Amino acid sequence: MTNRGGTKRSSWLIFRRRLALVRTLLRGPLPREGLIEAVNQDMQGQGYVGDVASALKHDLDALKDEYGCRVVYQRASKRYALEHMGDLALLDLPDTSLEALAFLEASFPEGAALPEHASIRDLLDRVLLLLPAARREQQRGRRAILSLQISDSPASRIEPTLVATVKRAIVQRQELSFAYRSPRADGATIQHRVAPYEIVFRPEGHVYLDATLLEVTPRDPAAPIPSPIHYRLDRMVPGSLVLLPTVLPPLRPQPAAYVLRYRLAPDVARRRDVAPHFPNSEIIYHDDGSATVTAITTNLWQARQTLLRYGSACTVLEPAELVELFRSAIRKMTANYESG
Amino acid sequence: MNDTSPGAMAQLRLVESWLPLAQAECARYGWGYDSLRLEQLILLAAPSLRHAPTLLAARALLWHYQQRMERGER
Repeated sequence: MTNRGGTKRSSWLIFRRRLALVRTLLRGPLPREGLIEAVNQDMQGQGYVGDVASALKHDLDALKDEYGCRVVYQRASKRYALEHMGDLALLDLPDTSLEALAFLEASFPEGAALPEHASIRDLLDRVLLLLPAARREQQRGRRAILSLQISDSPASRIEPTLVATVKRAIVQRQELSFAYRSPRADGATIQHRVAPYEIVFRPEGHVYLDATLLEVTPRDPAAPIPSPIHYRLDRMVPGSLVLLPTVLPPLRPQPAAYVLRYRLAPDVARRRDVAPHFPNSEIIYHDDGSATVTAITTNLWQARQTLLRYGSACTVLEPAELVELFRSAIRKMTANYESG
Repeated sequence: MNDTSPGAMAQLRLVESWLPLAQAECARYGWGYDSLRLEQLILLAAPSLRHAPTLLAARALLWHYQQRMERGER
């Protein structure tokens, strides 16, 4: 009786250990010691005991023989990597969820900046790996009937090491300095020192670092210090990024906020469904079909970009600084067409 | 003459980053510190502030080091 109970318990432990091993491998390649440690942690010390090396080899062989899992040993890095789950499907999903997966795959295609740098492709590949083979095949043939229309600038335009450095600066709350190719300076590079806060993917396909400008060399009178700026990552000069030792406070200093007021013509406001583009938006619809929007903005350049989409249907009433930005943009646009 | 050595510049940047929070705490608790005293407080607290994970932790550290400063400890 005791023996039978012991064998049962032992079989159950081995089964659990193999599942823990697969879960560990799903996180990514690991050396032998890393696998053993992770499994033991998962099983609170009941994983690998005694002849550890032999037990691990048995488990890897069993995963291959019983389920067709493909685990390879990468000699160069001395790590084990799970390449294929075989028949060990740990996940199945209802059709609606598979449709959602297809939506994500269509919206975040391989090779584009956002999916690559936000690791979305990696996540999708891992989820697909967990599905039964038949469902995976079915998914490959599925045509997405929904997708986000995001412009897909190629990921190759932004070096992965550059993104990694920016991410590290944000996580470690460290100041960052870099050379930046500004469109205003005829391709010349300008040295910036910033407090980095977030990487932002915009629908037009560009990737930005949302940061507070602390220093710019040479000085730019048009850029007040400190001021929030969205830097395009593909305009940062690779190799110029330096993490500075200054650690930033956990709270971002509040930038100057502007009260923003603009009027929208009946052409765009008549249906009374104007989008609130800015924080604290209050929209008043008038009898003639027009609307007046009052809101708060901390970034005039971004506000200008947003409101320019309305074309002539939008008139900015305040702040005066934004009105001047619009006047300047319109003067330049007019000059473009007059000179042609 | 202004000291522009890397060490002095790093110290200046550190003070520049943390001054707004130190000023806010000074106003909140009525310490009445001038900029020189605030700078001393930031430099005293700096090694710990580097590791403050949240705003609350950073504020608590500033308060702790302010108490130490008042007691004449370093």
